Amino acid sequence: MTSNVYGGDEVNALVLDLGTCCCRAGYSGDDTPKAVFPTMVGVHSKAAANGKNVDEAGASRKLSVGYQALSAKQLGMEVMSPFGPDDLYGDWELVDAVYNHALRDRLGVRPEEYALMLAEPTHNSRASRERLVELVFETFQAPALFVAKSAMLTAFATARQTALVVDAGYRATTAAAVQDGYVLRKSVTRTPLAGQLLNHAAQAVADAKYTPLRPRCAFKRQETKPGEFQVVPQDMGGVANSFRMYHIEQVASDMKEGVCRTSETRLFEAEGANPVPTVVYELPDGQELYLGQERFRMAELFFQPRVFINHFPGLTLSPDVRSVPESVIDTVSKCDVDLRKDMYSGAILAGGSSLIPGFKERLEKELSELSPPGARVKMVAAANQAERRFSTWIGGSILSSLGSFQQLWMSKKDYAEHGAPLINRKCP
Amino acid sequence: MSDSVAVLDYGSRWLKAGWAYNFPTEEEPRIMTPSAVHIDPDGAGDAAGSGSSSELHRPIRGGKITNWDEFESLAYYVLYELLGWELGNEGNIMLCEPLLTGRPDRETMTQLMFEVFNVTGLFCQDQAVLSLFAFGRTNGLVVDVGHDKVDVATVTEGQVNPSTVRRLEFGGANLNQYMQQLMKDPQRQQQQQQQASGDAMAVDSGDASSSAQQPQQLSEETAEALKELCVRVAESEAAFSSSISSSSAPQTFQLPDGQQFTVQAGTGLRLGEALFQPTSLLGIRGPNIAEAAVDSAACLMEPLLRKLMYENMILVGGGSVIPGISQRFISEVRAMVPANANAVLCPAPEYLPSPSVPRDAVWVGGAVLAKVALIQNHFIVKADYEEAGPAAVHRRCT
Repeated sequence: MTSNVYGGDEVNALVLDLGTCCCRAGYSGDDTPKAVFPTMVGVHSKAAANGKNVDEAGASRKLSVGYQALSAKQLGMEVMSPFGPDDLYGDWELVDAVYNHALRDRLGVRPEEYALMLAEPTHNSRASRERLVELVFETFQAPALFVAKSAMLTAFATARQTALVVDAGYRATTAAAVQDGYVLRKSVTRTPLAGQLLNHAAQAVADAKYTPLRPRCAFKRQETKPGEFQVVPQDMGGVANSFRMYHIEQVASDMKEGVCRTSETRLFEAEGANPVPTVVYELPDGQELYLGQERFRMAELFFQPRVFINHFPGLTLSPDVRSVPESVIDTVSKCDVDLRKDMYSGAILAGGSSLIPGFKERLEKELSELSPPGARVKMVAAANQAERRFSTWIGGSILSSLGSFQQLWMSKKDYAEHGAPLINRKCP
Repeated sequence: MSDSVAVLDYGSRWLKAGWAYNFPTEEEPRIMTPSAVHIDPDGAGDAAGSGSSSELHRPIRGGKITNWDEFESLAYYVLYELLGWELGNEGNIMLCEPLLTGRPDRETMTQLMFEVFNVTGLFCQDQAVLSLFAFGRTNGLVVDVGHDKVDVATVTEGQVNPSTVRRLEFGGANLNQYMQQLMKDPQRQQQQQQQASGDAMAVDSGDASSSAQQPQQLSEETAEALKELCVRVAESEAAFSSSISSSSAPQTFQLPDGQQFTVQAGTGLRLGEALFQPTSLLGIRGPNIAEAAVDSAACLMEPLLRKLMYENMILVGGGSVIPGISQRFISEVRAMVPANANAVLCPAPEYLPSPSVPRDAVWVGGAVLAKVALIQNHFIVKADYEEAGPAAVHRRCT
């Protein structure tokens, strides 16, 4: 009887991975997502224009998603993230807008025709999951759905069913243990040492050394003589603060990606003995920043946060924050004793923030020092930039195109009969 | 197996078709015909070129086909009557697909080609990649100024990077409308000029021209023809403002059908400037073409790759032939980009027919690729289609 099972030989599926920094969407079976764009949404709020409270229910907002919507200078547009302070889906209207943009504008498909494989945050709660399922079935009318945790999909991308997954993302670095394809929920640990913190650190460095960073749209350069430019400030009145901060962060992010390096050993305060080579970074307005020791200090935040946070004026971390190696050790210690050896020898490193040169080697080294003497630590990380950033998406693409997976979809019929809580049984 | 490949580039304004041939060649190889269909209210539709009482429909808007029946009759006209296909011996076809074409549209196109037109083989490739092939490159940044939209994309190793695709919602059509506005209301234009030069009084004055002002509503075709005669781009924003505020004599243009129009001095410059200041002149919010190009390259993840993109930029499409646009584009880009990424616009290679490239770079690239892909058996043949259905297209064409 085929009644409740959605599927067959040819199931067209889409894979959607909504991360805290960018959203990745594409067709299952492909090796890279066709649509990649920032998760932040530009919000024009009519209520704000009328002077009312923005949170008032019923205030209609105009939402714009995607690189283009965010790049040009817009008056009165706030930039908000669909994620709440706990890094779970906070504003469902924004989530809907992002998915809509991915499906209709970038991929050009009708969601009613495609099964959707969704990646959710590894620490997602049951309520949030059920809400997501409702959103997909009611608003997008998808015929079938599967929701998988990011850590599980990353493990799949490297063809493993049991692994320790360390995902260095934008808002947090998540460490999770995956066993036989299931994420062990009590083993998930998160620490805020991630891309967003590094961006703020880079911004603090630039602000301290030279004039504060300016967003790209705040100035225009005009060529006065061949090769020489004059910077003309543009009028930024009417531009929302979140918009300015978003663009300043883009400049800081670019600087971080060009300049950061991880030191091979623990960095100590007095490093006067070995001079660190200085690198020049040119900001969009033509200013040149000379960075030496700062390049290493930024990445050192991952490993010695409590010490190095003092180098960045304006940045704060809670005093009991765990460094990334400590966080990984915590995850492993929450697993069964028998599992720990496999965890150490099969660790996967993924996520955009892990691309800092030297990060993987340093993390392996620190883990070897902190782990029990008998454990052999081996970490695997994709060499290709795209594979590391999109490992969750790639795992989703692989999983949803497997023949043996096709009977696991939750179909619309299931949803109609049993409602959203069925998802917890179908997708553990 | 027939060796001939027809190359079809369907744009919103012009449909370019022709046989893929071996370069170099003397004659103009491709046919250009308007992408428009006359719909007779009482009878069957006929391709553009006959009758003026019926309505003119454009089945292609902004890169997407909105009406498949009209597109079918248009393609029928182009392929069988203009290009010379014979029923029963159709040959292969190479399609130049616009960016952001979704899979469903591609499958419908495949179905159309194989079932209605009965082609022997089919291949599709993105327009951005083909434009680069016409310039002899596989990496680069392509800015395609079209009729309904401007497409910007970066291509690496012959594949478009999806996160860098930008589509701006203005193009030649908006310039036509702007032309109509300018011609209709020269009085307002005069006021703008005076305000720009600091004169706050909007005076209904006799202007500098000697001939009488004729506010009139031009038809879109006339506006378009007039636009093509007088459009120019100023060297920089400062040059534009100073040219506009200085009043100079209006010019008279004669259209091919003999009509004469007197155009105010700054009109041509304004039209060109609209591509670089769409928010103020066209009322469309968003980046201008240079900002979109820099933004597109900026979201590439590897800095080295970005440098490669800046060194290989091309400007193609109908709007690329506007006098002065290349210099202005490159100077705007240089102002936004660090000095050591030396941003250059690639020149057209000498072995290709010079008037066509860069305007028809997409078609030329399609012709280049068609021959290569045919030899390497990349085409989707009828047997593939029968086995897998329309989804077969996704296997060979990414």
